[in-house]
Amino acid sequence: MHLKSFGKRARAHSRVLRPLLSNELPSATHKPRGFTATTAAARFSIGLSAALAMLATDVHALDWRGNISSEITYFPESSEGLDNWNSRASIAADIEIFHDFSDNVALTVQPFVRFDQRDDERTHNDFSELILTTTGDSWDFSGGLGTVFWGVTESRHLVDVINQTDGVEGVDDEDKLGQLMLNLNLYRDSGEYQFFILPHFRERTFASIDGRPFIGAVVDENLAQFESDRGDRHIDAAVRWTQSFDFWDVGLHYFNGTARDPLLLPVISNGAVLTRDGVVVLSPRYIQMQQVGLDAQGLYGDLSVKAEIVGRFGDEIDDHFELVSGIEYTLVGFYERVDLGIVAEYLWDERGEEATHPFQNDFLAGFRFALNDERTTDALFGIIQDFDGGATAVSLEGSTRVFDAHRLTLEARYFTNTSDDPTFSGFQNESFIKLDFSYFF
Amino acid sequence: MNTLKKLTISILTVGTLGFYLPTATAQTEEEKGLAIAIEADKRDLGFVDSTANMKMVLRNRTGKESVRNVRVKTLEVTGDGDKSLSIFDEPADVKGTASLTWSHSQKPDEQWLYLPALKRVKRISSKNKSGPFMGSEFAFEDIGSQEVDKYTYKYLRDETLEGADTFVLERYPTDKNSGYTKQIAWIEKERYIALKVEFYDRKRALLKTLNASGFEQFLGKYWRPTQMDMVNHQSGKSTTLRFENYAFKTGLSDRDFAKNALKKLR
Repeated sequence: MHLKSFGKRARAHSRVLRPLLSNELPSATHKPRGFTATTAAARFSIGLSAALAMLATDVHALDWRGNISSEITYFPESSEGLDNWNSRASIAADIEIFHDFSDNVALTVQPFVRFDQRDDERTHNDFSELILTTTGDSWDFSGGLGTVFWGVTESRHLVDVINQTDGVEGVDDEDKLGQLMLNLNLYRDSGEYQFFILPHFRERTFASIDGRPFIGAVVDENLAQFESDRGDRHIDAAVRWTQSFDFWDVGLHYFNGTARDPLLLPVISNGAVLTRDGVVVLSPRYIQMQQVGLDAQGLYGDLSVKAEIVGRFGDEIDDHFELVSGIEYTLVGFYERVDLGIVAEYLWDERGEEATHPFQNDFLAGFRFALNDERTTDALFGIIQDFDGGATAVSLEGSTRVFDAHRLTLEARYFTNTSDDPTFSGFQNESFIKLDFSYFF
Repeated sequence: MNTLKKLTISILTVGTLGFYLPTATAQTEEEKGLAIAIEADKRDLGFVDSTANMKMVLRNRTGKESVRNVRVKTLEVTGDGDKSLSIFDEPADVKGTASLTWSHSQKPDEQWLYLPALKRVKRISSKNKSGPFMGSEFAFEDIGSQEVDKYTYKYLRDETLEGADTFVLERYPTDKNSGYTKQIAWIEKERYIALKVEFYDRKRALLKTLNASGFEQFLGKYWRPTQMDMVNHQSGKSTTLRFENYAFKTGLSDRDFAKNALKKLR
């Protein structure tokens, strides 16, 4: 894979297939729209105004990139949700602005906003970045809202623990919410050392009862519970070391704080399970955990070998290990100019069917095509098979450049054999096809 | 070596002859070809670092054009292959994407790609360089590091090419994954720069022709082309590279070519 994963939708290209986790159920809450994001927006709007004022003073060091996208999603089957619809339209804008105050002080601001025709919870905004960075000779230090990616695998990102998932954006866990952080990085011959203090926890976003995919229950963010007495003010911390060797890139990390993925618990009210309009209401519970993890990628010619392993420990979880490991093999010039990448990954959780996600014993097979044409056309086809419950999830994503600065992206996901698999059963009627048209600047 | 240097060097693909060589008698055509390549390489030593803007114009069979803009930076590494950075500015949907290559003479190159949408640095295979660079008619190996030992050589003849005295030599890639069985290069005798290269595919048929022009000299020593035209004879497509704003000894360091620097590129 050379330079094919370009662009905004690199987020689509570099993933394979990622159905919703059982703990990402859409929400049926009727609280004000986009609660989490709008509070964050309010909290930082002052900062943004100040930042923009500063930017205006010196346009020479200013740079930006971004896109405006419009999408249409079609669900061929009817949902069991309350608001029964089959298609929706949505538009979004994502802009990243940089400003250098000097050679070693820089500001990055990246606001994001989406409007959704059907789901008030999906109409939301966020800052993935609003962060000031100062750079030294062999170190840098950042403070603000930031986004950090850790890891090497395609199907699931076990070690990527800093940012919360923006659950209403997509089904693949690759869209993230900005995380408030203080971050020091040291660059030494012995590797890169990263230190994080994370003072404010972001709750995961969930679709409303009007949203899709709808999988039979709703999560009420107003009922969120925290193991820590400090709630979302618990101060989390993380350290990570990475080093590149001739054939291997290796990372080790330790995280202590609030788990990003909540447990989703039924709520007992007056001796009965709480429902709203006949739909079961779930409460997200954010527990405290310690996580140690290893990620490694070895490169042998056109063969890439990848592994992510984490151990998770805490008072409210069964201490356990999870693993994603596999290969990616690239056939350059598979057919004329077309490159074919073959991805195979095995996903495992020591807890087996007690796991809080669907990937306890699953296998992913993926095929990545890069046409290497002037439109930078690519496509990704993937199948995830669950060996315990028997569910199968199939995905196809493809994109191509149209005109000079637009990109057309097709995403289709199909879920089948879900009836005997508790973690997949909600997806029975939720297969969909999505067309996205984006303008880049 | 970086993209920029690769380009120029591949073009330079040269060798030595001239006054330094013992006169013909004992030298085989292979030795003479190698000597030309060594001399060309030697003449490009000591540039320390360089930056340039590269504009690519891709043309399909019907003449429809599409444009890419890439900033290229190179750091000379003494005793090993150079380090290079390519930062993509256009088309807009790839803006912010960057690739970092550490080329090596004795072991496989190391290469990373930065994907701005995910803020992810991904290590990628650099073994097979026969694929197209950004959809153009240039393969990765055409713009990659052109170390002397990546080919074996054979001197063919002297020839006058559009008024310039040149050595004509064949070079044969030593890399099994190369898309070529051979290249024929026209090396200008005076400056040891490659003015023209023909590329022969795995079926030994003529695939592409490269012409380099508009050479400018920097630091009183280093010659760089301002334009390179690659024509694919089999597909009818062509690509033009134009280089602007060449700069040398700009003060770049290892820190600018570290994996973690990819995230901070602007």
